[in-house]
Amino acid sequence: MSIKGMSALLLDDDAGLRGLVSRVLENAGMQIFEADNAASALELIRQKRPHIVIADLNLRGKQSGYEFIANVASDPDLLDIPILVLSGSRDNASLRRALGAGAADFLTKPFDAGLLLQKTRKHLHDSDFIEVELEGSWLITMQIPCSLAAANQEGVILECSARLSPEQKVRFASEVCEALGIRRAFPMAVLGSVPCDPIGFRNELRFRGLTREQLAALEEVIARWHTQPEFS
Amino acid sequence: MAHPTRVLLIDDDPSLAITLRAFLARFGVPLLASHTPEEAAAVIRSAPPALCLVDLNLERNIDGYTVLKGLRKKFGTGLPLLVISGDKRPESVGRALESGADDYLFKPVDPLELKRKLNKYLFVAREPEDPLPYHKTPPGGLRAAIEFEICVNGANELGLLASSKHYVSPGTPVFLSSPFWEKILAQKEFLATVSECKATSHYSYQLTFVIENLTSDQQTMWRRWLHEHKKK
Repeated sequence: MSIKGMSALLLDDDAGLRGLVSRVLENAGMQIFEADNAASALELIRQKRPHIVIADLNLRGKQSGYEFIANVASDPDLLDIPILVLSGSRDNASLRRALGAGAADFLTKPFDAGLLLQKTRKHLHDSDFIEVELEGSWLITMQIPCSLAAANQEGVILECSARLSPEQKVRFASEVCEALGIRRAFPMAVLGSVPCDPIGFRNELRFRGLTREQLAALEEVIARWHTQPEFS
Repeated sequence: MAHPTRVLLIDDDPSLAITLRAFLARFGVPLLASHTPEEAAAVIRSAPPALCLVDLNLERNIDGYTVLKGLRKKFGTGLPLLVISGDKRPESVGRALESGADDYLFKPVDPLELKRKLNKYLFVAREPEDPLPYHKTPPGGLRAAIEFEICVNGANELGLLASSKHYVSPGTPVFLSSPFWEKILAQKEFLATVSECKATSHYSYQLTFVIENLTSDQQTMWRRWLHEHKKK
């Protein structure tokens, strides 16, 4: 199967960008329907039943992109049409909100023609889209940015969009580690995790061993925050 | 303890020192290594360690037990002496303890066991039953990061498929690093976005990543690599 001959609906209030995206997909042999507001996009979807929808999040008019996505995703007749978000907002919260509303995938502006084609191919199960099952597997290190919310002599509380599983070992990096004489990351054990707004999850981690002078350095760092201790 | 926490290893075989140095570095504890008891005595005088690891099977007919007795006599009970030996016979263990050793570790050294001993002799003891209150960081929190290993088992044109022990919300930007990248894409670390996270079993997740900011050369290299490794 190829994306040639398939159709896409494009919802964006920027006519210039619609033209750009249309040209890329038309070159790949797709048929394009365009809409500049959510209401007419919904009407077009019902009428033309495109194979994929590409939508912006910030729209002029009554309905926002999120509401539009939720409307399409909750309609049993339209459920099988993947929605690709193409948005200027790069922040986590809006991406997560869009995916939560029912979007299948997202692309951020500035718009990348190659990525758009690849993602369209992926969601339309185009046979040209390469998927490789690796022989064996390899370990890579993943680093997730987070916010250090609190600390004591035993551990730290980190807020991030990852929910760490209890009893697992992770490494923690921050300026606190530098004060403890560790240049990169300190090994820690996960105690537990609870959901929190707006970042996602509040993770409690414990140091896996501090020497006396590391403890003294940590106490010094905490004292500089001038905050009262409290249970959390 | 006025001096910083250091560990001294007395072993004529340098291979153990390499492993131990890497292990201790994770906790910010430097390792001093000496090959002979005389060297060790000099080091202890100039840079007193917090713990001394002694290999019993030293070359040149030096008796490990005599070394232990000598160290105990010279430095008193303030310096914990930990024996590392491949000799598992109860009489050897007993003789080492009688000669002044505080504890005994078998070769090959089990990292978990070593960590337990370090907790006992090096790290500050804590009462896990008695939770300490947390100090909040200044408003807004401090920037930090957590890192852990994930296992890559698939790839496609957009990025990677990997299994993780932790849940990561879609939309989260992460850094992926591996020496493996250098071979394929001539770069060690990449910014990627989590596009999917599905639970596969209890505390086990399948993550899908989109690698961001690849140059067009790198995209070509990536496609070539995928073609070469495509499952027949």
